Amino acid sequence: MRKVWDVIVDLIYEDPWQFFGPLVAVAVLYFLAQSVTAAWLGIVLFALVGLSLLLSLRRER
Amino acid sequence: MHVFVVLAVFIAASVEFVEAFTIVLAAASVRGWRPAIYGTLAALVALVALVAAFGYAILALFPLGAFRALVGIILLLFGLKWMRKAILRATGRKALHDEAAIYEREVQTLRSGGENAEALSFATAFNGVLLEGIEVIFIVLTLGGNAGMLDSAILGAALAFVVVLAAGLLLRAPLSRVPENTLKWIVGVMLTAFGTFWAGEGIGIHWWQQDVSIIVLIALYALLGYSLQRWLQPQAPQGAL
Repeated sequence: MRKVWDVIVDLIYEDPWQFFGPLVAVAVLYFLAQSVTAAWLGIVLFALVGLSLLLSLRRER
Repeated sequence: MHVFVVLAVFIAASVEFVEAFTIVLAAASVRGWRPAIYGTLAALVALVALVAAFGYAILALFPLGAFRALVGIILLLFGLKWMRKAILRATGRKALHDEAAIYEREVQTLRSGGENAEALSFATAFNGVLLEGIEVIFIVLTLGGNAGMLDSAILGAALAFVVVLAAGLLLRAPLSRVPENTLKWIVGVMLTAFGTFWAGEGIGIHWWQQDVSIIVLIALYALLGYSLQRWLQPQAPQGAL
């Protein structure tokens, strides 16, 4: 259990966007998927995960 | 023996085995074979225990959607972490190979009695094999059970396992010649793509052409990673040897 916690702390410490971004993306898409069944939801999920990666790299520029 | 049931299960199970093997290969290429194989074996033991305990009841009892979402999110987090690090290394913002840092890390590992990266590798292989293994069990029980040809379905799955394993072992040698950071970059892209697909499937997204979407996601994440690398612009490497 301690190792799992260490990994989570590592992820947040390196950059919060890479941890919270995908979680928020999946949560938003979960609520959308309850009412919409279109395949473009997959593209939205990809876009939100991609945005998380972009934001986590932004301060390195 | 029913040839069509064997063939149908062979094709369906091959897709799942290829996905599982890709995950194991990815985990092994980052942290060596030991934690990846331990993760795989632990997942196989769990699968055998699940089938022995529940049999056909597993179809009704197991919350496959929630499990897919959980495994997907875990892979998504691991994959994004690897992709980010590989991009930073490729642009010189992180050392490619820093002996002092590696020594310090190994010392810390000995002191703490563990290694997060090994736990990551184990968990990645375990989750991937467990999820895909459960999907193969569902395929065998539904296709074989409905046709009353469970032995044909098991044969189809066993053949798929042997063929995918043989093909995967042949791939090991060429993969070992790929530069380390390039390999980690690819692993990050693959895990993020698989994680996105499974998390999406788990929360109810209907992917275009189902598993074919994984290939599209891999291409999209590779393009995104390459674009972000260009956007960051190369710097002089930090302490690279």
